[in-house]
Amino acid sequence: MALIGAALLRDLRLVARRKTEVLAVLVFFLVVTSLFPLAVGPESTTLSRIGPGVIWVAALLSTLLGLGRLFSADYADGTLEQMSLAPSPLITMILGKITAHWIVCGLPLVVLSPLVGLQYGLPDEALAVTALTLLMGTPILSALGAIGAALTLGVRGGGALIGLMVLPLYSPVLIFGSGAVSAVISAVPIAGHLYLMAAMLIVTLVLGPLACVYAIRIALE
Amino acid sequence: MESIEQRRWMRFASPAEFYPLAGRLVPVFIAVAIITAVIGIGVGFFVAPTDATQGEAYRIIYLHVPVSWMSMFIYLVMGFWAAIGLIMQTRLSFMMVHALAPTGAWMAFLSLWTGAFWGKPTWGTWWVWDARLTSELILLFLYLAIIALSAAIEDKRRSDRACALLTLVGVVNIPIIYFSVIWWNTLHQGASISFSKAPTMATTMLWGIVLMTVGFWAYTVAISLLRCRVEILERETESDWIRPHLRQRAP
Amino acid sequence: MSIESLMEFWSMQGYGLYVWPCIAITGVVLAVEIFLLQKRSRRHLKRIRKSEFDHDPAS
Repeated sequence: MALIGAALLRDLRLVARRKTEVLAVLVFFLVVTSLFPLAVGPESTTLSRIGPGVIWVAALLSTLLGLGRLFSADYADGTLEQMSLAPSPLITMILGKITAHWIVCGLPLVVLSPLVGLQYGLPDEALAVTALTLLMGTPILSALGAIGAALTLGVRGGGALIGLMVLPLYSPVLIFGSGAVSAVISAVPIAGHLYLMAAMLIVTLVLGPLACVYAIRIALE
Repeated sequence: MESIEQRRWMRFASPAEFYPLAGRLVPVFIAVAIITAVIGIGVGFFVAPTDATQGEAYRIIYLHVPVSWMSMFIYLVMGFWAAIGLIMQTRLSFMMVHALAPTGAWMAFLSLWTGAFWGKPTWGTWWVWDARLTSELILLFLYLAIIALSAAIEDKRRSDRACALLTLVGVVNIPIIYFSVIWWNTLHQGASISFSKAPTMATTMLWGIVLMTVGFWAYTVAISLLRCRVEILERETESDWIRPHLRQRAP
Repeated sequence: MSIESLMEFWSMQGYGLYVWPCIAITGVVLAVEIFLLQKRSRRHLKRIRKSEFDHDPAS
């Protein structure tokens, strides 16, 4: 546990040095969500209908943005290889990195989402559920995305390739996450959605990092 | 203690042994494919009766169902070979994964196309976001991701194992994705029946579908074996068994 | 088979517009797949033969 904490702190410190990158992801989220009203018109009924979906898709895309940098710097300068040879298990490093990615790319979205929800005219319960589902969903996005990032270490093709690999895998989270928000707007019970998301979260947090470690070892050989 | 049987089969795990074996098997499967497809089309288009509700448009089913099943079946087979490859570290298993992927993608594409052309006359629109078509679309994306990853990584050994891992991650996720999409679809469309629901089957219709499915399956086996041979050719260029073998065959 | 029944078969109660393109696209896809594979195979066989010639001009 302490090892994960140490890895986490290291990554957060690295991130702190690259604050602009972090802010860029957040601003990207806000820009994308601002594009949709420009595209479909400012009519509030339309916006409140598409609001949950837009927020969620923007969250997916923003997470995707941050994935490229998840391992690339450490891979490029050989640190990742050293980590894999180090006595402490690689999985703790990975868990630290994934957590750092979530804190930087995921958590801010959770915090910002109610603001965007207001822009889309979502009712108060919907704002709360948006934040809650994003809170449960963004770690899933980070963990799954890390597998994609690990598979494409040092590979040309960039974000599009990771996106192609990872976005289809995101669809269940997207369906239930934005589905929950739409459901609460229509006064439909959302307990099922939340249980399913919790289940996906647990399974992904257990299996995801394992797959990620395997992918990194594949890349390092 | 390995039995003689086991050892006899396991020698085909070597590309050098597999190459000629595959070469001999391909014509057999092509023959099966052609025969079953011809009979299947004959039964499906000439023997089977017209459907009461959908008229002649339903005959697309003789193409749509086989390619849809193949697109899903191929992914499972890829998953199988990916797992074998990662567990037993056999190069040939990974080559089978690469050999199957393009065919799987084409099958998924055909499923979408025939699905759209079936939907237009029966339900009025070219595309419907129903559970089957949507999950087929996602399946196509999964295939394309594997193909793209394989093309992006130059080192064969790494690309083999990365694609195998991606395939397995996909296999694990497919049931989850499928049920999510079904749930999503029933939620938004109410209890409406999926537009690609098959008409009630007369026996001849069923036979037509079965024959066509066998035909497409045989075609898939043939083309995958051929593609695997080309993979072997590309990778084993420097091996000492290749040139004598080719010299033997070629004029 | 009269020309009338042939025309009837072709039109498929008016659905021919949908049925025949499906058969056509299936045929096209299979042909393309085979063609691309042949091209890839021939390209590589040529490469092997050429390098073999370079290595062993006596053959």
